Amino acid sequence: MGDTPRHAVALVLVGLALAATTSGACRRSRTLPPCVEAPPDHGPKVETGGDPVVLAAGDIADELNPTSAVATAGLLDQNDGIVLALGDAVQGDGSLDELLDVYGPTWGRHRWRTHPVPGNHDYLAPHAGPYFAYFCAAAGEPFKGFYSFDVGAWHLVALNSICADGNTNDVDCAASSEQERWLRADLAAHPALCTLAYWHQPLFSSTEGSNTGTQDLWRALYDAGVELVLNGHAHVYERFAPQTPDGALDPSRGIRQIVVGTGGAPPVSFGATAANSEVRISGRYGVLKLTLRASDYAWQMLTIEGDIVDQGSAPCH
Amino acid sequence: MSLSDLRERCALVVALWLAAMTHASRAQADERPLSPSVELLGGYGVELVKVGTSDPSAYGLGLGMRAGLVLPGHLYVGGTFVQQLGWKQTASDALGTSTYRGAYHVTYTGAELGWALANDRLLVRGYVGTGALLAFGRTAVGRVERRDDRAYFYVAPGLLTAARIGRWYGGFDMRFVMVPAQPTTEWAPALFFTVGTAL
Repeated sequence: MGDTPRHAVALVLVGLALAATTSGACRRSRTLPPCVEAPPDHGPKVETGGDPVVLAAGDIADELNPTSAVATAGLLDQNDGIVLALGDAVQGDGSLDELLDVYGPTWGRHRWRTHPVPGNHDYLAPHAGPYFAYFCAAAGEPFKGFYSFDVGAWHLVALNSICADGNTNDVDCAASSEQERWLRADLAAHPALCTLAYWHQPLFSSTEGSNTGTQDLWRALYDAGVELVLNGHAHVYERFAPQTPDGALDPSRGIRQIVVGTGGAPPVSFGATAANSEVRISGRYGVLKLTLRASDYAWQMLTIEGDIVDQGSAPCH
Repeated sequence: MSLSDLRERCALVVALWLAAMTHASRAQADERPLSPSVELLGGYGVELVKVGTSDPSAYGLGLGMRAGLVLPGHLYVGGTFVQQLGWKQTASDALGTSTYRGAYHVTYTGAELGWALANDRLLVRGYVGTGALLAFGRTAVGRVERRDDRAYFYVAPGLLTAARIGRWYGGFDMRFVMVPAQPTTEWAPALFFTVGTAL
């Protein structure tokens, strides 16, 4: 073998060695908080000593605007009850780093009592993998994102509104999809007098943040006589009168939708007012507080300034 | 790195190439074809427009090899293999009850056709490569895994500029890997340090 072929062989061997030694160079490792966390000795509790309480907001931790999530997390510190994170727990790329470093120090300290749903930002990470890993079993079965549970006399249903886009979300929202069939079966198996459903992208909104892809899910909820739907996505507070899935006013059997995208993401402006929109508030950060009584419910929109900017109550169907 | 920064750097690289090409063209009379040759490539690729919406870049650090032949008339034919190491992340809690693994990378291999100019000191080669690009993706939460493995056809125009020392040469290879896909064409510029030897 002459010099040149030996050089060529050496070059190839060097290449292979480089490939072997650098193949793990881009790997990063993080530590997740434990899946099962005990409530802190001091601070808020799930049990209120009275009717169950739900604290809800979506669109929470924004790396570019972190103080707002710090403030809304302060509202959680002051109130007992369970926490519903209405999607987009983080506002960036949905990465594990964001969840651990931006959401973790704020709403993350209430993870032990949080029941989340995924948002579109969570799905900027493939299959929302970091979201499912961070929230563990509280987020439902990995990569599905829909589940249900009971709170007092109420049945609560968490849904995945980031409907299949042919890319990295394989959960569909359409009629006869796995999620829609599961929803109808779940509602049939839990004929509670009062039912609350929540997901990220609202069917109705006076902003540009509506998603008609959830209409079939809404129809299943309407057919089962569900009372209330909570959403995020639109960075505003907006409350609607009870409606049908097609947006017609229906005070007797309709579902009331409340959008609470006020967890910390920068506010957006309203456009043309959607039909049956009753209250619209932009530019305020806060958390919706629901009291779930046996046959009715009451709501209060709490802001970080200590104001109650909307409140009311309504009976179950 | 912002898009404008990248554009400025690309413009600088292109200007250097043009200068080198001019120099090589003037020296064609002294050309001794480097035929055949093998090369190693090591560098970095940036996925500017992605196939799909997944955030982690499947490019990043890259390693590759190339073998080629200069035919009469400065015609260059060759083949290349490149592995971009992409992105990997693992996480678990202290008890191992929750685990996460994410990994995305691309590999592409194909044929190249181009035009090579060389003298005693300099080698300049413009080429277009084409072949198969395989994108691999894994996301696992606990024992549940999702795979995003896809195969594409790619086209990669590029330019190698290298200094020669005897049979050896070293320089930079700049290429634009383009993947025609719906709804948009992915393109990823990549710059490789290249070391090669004539056989």
